[in-house]
Amino acid sequence: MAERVCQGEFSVRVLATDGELGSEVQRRWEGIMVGGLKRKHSDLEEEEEKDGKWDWSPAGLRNYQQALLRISLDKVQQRSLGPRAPSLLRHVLIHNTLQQLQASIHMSTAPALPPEPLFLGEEDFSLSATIGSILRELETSMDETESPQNQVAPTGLQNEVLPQPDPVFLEALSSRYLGDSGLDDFFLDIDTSAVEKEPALAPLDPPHSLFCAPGSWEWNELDHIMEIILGS
Amino acid sequence: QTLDKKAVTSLILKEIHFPKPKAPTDIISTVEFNHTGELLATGDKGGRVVIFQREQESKNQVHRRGEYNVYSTFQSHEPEFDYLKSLEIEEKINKIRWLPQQNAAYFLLSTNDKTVKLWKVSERDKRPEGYNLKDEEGRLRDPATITTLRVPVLRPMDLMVEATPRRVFANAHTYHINSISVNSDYETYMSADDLRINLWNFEITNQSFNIVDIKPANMEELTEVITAAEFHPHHCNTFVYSSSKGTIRLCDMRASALCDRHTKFFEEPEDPSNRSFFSEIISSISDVKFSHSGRYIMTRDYLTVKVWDLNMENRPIETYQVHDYLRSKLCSLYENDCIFDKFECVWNGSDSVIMTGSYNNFFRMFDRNTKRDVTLEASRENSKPRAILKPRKVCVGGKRRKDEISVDSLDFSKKILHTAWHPSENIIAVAATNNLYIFQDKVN
Repeated sequence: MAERVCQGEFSVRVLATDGELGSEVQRRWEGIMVGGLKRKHSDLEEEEEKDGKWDWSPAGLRNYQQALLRISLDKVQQRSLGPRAPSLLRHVLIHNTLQQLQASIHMSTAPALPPEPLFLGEEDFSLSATIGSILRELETSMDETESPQNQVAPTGLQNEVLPQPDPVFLEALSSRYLGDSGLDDFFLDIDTSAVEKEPALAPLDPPHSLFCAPGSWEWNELDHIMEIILGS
Repeated sequence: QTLDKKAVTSLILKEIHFPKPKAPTDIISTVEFNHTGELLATGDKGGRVVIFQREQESKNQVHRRGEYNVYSTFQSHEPEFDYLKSLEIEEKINKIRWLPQQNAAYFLLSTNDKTVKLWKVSERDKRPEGYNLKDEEGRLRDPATITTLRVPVLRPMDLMVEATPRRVFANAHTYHINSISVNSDYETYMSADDLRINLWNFEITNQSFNIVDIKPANMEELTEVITAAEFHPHHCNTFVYSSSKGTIRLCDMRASALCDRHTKFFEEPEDPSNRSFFSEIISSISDVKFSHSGRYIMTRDYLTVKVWDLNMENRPIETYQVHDYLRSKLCSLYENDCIFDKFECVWNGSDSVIMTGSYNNFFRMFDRNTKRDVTLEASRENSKPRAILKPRKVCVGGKRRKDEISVDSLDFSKKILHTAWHPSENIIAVAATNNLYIFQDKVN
């Protein structure tokens, strides 16, 4: 069941579940996503009209991408409301747009990255994007904190963070948090249990922009999230 | 019954974007003239088909010549429920296609998302009277009371038009049917859904041939779907289908049973200066139509109409801008889902003019020879019956002239997706939400 949480001028569609684990992640997502989606939609359109082409400042482009990402993920969720079978055409078009967004977001943060792995399905995309952002914050926090006690933790955590998360866990996480979503509806005439999901995450270079200010209490919060996600 | 639930669902999803139309099931979803232009069929969201017939010319009432009046109304499809997938199957009529007339009756195909039906529309203006075994009210008579025999006679009665379902072609499509097309052999037709195209014989309802299948083995690799399909008007072995990536494939059924390998592939290279995140969405083709001559195909994508020569695959021969002023609004149109609207396009009888719809109840006509174009509006407020339609103009820049309308004032809930052109005369039918407008060329 999706809930819309509004914070100031933007909204984050939070994926809530029953149970403690869900609400824990929910609160963290709110805190993290605050910084990225400030721009109002109408402002975006003015920017779009002004230039028409993609030569904005990196910050403007990033905000635009984030807003498009938000809108696209909203649409993916919307699809599962209502009793009628969703439109496959619409799904494919949104999915392809999401893929472009993902590619361009990763290119804008780390141009030297290897190409992204195969697309998993939009539920994994939203998850991997969020996990990706969480990881980026961790890396940033690790770089910018200087206190000795934090140096111990990053070393230990780095070994856990960088390896690929367990794909089975990813699937369990996505199905729990995103409900009956993704391409399942379109799979109904074939057996999807044999479909393998590839790990979504590759090691990322430290980004230049931040979602949240580094600091030891933030670090502890993020540390806590990583423990939940990695099940350690 | 389910009507209230459907109304509520659409309210939740659309409320914040634009006002809901008064009666959602009255929204016209398809319009089609028959081969002579005598009949005009409309299908709506509620599964109903309404057929209009053109008034016969009469010396007494010259001014009524050419008016279309209701000829027949029937319920073609009902809402269904797929219990296996827990999904409703909408009764909305996606397409109607007429068969050429071969006897006194009319035949048409109508389809919703899952099921195609062949309907026979026929007139009855006589009824038999004077049965031996039944009395006038239809009750059986006691045979012992019958002492003489007589031959029943046909007596005239008030004209009754009845529609009967002659064939039901069901259970052949896993995905949503977007097109049907009658073949020029008049014995077969095809139905296309998002991933597959099936070939049917009109006489056989329990099997069909699959002639195109683009479903990937792994659905997660799906990046392209079929959006429209049509048979060539003269060559019964040739058909085209369009895709969500802006490509058209022409297939020849003589080459193989499964037409997975196209004979021709039409695609225009992308203009790098116009590239955006929405490039793919706006390139998705919403309609494809052969010209009457069979030499050209016309495609409609979100912002343009293109005419292709069958002999040139690498680019269209003509491109017409329908509403290029929307290019800077694509983000909003993506958010409110308008970017997914599927506009249709039509040729006139001589293939010299093409027509397509837009927003604000505007529709556009392009003259291929003179390269002139015009924007007209289908609206009760702005036109009295029999008044000449005034050309409209959308103002894109700073100063707006008196009769112009600015881009920001356009009403995106008033969209003209479906239009039709009489096969030989300048008569057009334009569906604006739940209203049907029929316009005729004043010059006589």
